[in-house]
Amino acid sequence: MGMHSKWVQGNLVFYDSRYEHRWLDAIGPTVTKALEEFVFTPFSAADSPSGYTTTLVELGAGETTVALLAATVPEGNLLITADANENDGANIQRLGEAFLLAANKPCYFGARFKVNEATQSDFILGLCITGATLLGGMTEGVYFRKVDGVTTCNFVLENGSTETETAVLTVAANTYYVVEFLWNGVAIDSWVDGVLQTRPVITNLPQAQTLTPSIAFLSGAAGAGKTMTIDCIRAIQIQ
Amino acid sequence: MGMHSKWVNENLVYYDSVYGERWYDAQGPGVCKFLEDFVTTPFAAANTPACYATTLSAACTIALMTASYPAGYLVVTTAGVDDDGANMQALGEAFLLAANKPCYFGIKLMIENEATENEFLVGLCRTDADVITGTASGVYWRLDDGDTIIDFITELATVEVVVPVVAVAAPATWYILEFIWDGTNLDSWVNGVLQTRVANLTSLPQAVTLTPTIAFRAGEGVVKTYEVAWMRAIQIN
Repeated sequence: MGMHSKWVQGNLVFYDSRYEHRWLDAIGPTVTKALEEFVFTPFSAADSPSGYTTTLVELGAGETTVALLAATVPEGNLLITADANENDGANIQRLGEAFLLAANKPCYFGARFKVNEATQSDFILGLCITGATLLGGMTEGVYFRKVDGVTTCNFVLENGSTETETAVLTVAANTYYVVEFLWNGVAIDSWVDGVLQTRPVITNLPQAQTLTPSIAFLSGAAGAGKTMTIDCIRAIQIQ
Repeated sequence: MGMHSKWVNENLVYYDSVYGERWYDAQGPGVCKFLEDFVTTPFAAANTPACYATTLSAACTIALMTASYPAGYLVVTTAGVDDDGANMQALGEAFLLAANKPCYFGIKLMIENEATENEFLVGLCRTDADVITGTASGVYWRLDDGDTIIDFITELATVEVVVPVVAVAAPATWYILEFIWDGTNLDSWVNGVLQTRVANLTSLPQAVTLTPTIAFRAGEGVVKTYEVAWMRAIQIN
């Protein structure tokens, strides 16, 4: 594992030496980036990372929790623990909407995560329009989504509530996955654990809607203790 | 538009390939930097960015913008009250314009509505809850209420040296204001154009630590909007 750098439209992009699509950082005049390692993420209150809008989804009297994971896992992780009702969970989005997948504006998104329940869980990871109910209520975004009752994770392009879905992953419990996409300004590709997936058509790519890094997780069935753990989430664009 | 790098006092500085004065980032043992692009700015509460001391008057609001402008920016919206506004300073005072300690400051901002009935002050300043009227020391640009002239000012113990009319403010226009203290001389730029070098450095605060500062105030009882795309302070100590 190592790192190389290259110039992208006059900006210096640092990328993984084994996976060229995996952008790690960038410096330059037109870089927009949100790099989150969950190592020193500030919180304004319990369950509220302060650079994000966090909506806890609660059907009962309990409490979904959002916290940095202490002990057991080095390198920093965010842990979402859903409360005991079906569809309890959390909706977490970066403040603002700084990313726009316009023509010739390359953009990378990547996240590493796991869930402890493969079938009875719902999640979204990607760039989305702001909204308090991404799972079920989103209109524009580019994201990875799994819904409850199945283990298939799809790569979704959504514009005006119309989706293009591509199945990219069969989720297993307690297994870390790296999901990534790269808009090169003309086409969009996705990867799972470094493996290139089928390129989707971009009919439903939201090219006129600003987006923001987003995480959503809901329990798919009643029962306490369903979790999503996110190691990192990165969005880097050359605007 | 592109980027180059160079060594400054044995630290690696990344700078614009067209505008050599525009520093983007730096790495090295002597680097002190504050890079704010308003993409990942944490907020402790509504209208309260977490890494700033913020003073709001009346019903002024500050937030990261959603929609309409990619790349992230801060929007300050005043209530319809004269002198309503926001005073934001990065916590601490990490920058000291001492001899042989080069320092870059840059900011990109816009007055949304109209040019005359506004006040702003941006730059490196001593901490103060109302820098427009109360800062004692700093290096900054200031637009006074009632005119459209942006002055570049050095101030030490409330004694100012003013380099007047470095720019004439216009509404809905982006301005990039930058200065570099190279350790000996102080130069400023407006939208990439070099201004007259500050000849009189008697009010350069070389023994007072400073911090990145943004202050906006409405100049009349009308809602005003101000936007900041980015602010960067990079020093080689």
